[in-house]
Amino acid sequence: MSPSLRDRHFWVVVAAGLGLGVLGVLLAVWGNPQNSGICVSCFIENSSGALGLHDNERMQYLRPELIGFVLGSILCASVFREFHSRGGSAPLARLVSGIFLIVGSAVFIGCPIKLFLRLTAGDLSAVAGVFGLIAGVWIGLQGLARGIDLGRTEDERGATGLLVPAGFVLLLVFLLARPAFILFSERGSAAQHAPLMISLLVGLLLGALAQRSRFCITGSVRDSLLMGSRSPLFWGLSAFLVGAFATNLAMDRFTFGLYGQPGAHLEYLWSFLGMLLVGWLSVLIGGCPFRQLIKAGEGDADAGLAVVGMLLGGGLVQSWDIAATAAGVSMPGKLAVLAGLAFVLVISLLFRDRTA
Amino acid sequence: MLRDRFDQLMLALLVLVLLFAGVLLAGAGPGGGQHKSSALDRQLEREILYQARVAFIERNFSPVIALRNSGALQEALLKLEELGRSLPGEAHNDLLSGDILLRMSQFDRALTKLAAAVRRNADYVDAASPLNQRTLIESAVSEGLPLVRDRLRSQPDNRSMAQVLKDGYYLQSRLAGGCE
Repeated sequence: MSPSLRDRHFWVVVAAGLGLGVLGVLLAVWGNPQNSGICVSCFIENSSGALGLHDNERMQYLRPELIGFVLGSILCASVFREFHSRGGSAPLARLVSGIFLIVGSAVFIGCPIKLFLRLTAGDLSAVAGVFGLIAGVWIGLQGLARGIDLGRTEDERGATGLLVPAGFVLLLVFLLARPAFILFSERGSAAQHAPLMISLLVGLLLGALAQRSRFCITGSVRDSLLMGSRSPLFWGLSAFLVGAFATNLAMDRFTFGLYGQPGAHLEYLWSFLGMLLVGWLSVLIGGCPFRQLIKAGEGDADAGLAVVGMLLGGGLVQSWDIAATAAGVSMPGKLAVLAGLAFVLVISLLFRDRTA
Repeated sequence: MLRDRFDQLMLALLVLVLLFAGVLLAGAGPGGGQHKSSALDRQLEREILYQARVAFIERNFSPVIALRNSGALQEALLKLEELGRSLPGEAHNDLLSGDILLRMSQFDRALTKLAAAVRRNADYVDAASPLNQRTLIESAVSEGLPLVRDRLRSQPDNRSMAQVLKDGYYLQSRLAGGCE
């Protein structure tokens, strides 16, 4: 049975999916790198570089979209009285998970959002990543069904949930004031960006929509596997795919094929494994990199720690040559994905409730 | 929230710290300007290094470019070989080799050399860079790739040609843009 068309939440989810798909393509039209209108992992790597966490001169820019996602989320959560500080569920495990979310994405070259943006632009090399993401989410679900649980998140005293949003307000100040210690690339993909105010406004809008709808890519894949078309998120993901595909066609950005695609490599096994790692981890910690940003904006300090881990990961994947390029996946990249899989396996062993 | 003197003291100290930070940010604090200038120096130093690199390339490879422009392609390749001994691993050596091989219609070797150049220095496919060589690389890909594909069709077991095809796809992908 499909969700009721009279259900307002259903339409908020569809609007969030559609907005993410359409604006994800349009941001590339307006100046972001090709097929990377929205890519949380690429943006995190850019932002880490801007903060001096790596020295790749071609990957340094404080992406306004990321700031918009978090601030849009906290504004929306505050208006609808959904902001509350919470946390305390395996914080260090979540921090390390954040690092490996970026490792898996960097080896594939893109987060789950970019995975589908690449696919809807005709990039067939992304198909291995789609299979990997679905496999990862499925394995993660099997683990949850067998008692893997990182522990209960509890309401926290004080306002710890404000720390990460406050950090992003500081990043906004840095972006606008451009102090000398913040680095901005003049060449390379980080030098390609949509106008600042457009990026920021799109980020705020999508952050607010994602907060209201709880929409994220891995969450949609998870709910689609569990409930099929009965889940609103299934329709949100469908709206994302249709919106992105139609916009790519309308903007003449659709290039069907396997070879010569922008920001893509042909090492399918590692694309599969990178996205498998991302899907698996996302199920265990409750959302893909995009969702972690949104939850951090709602006051979830655990998601905030995952975001901090993602920023660290953004620095590490560039400094340690983990990130893949169009030339392929480096040996450190392959080893890092295997380390990530070992990590998630250890988590699965250590955090399993066997009493049920 | 402000129940006792301790709370009030904490709040007063917080206001004081924020005010002090504001004063420092406004540039009134001692040494602030000095720190700012050293950070600015870092950006400037980066730009100077880059400009120096471009000038270094132009100076060292100008004899090769002169030979290439005069049509002495074999001599230009020999000069590049000589330069390769004093400047091992320099991407511009690979780029010029690719350029010259393309002029000699040796498309497979040209693609390999150009791919090696771009792997070492992505500025060659960056329209915003003074080292931008997109036109050269685009013509190598558009002319070379179909020939390499044809040759692989007739010799499917030719491993070196398969590698050249990969190099061609790599260049095609870099020309298409996207994240790095």
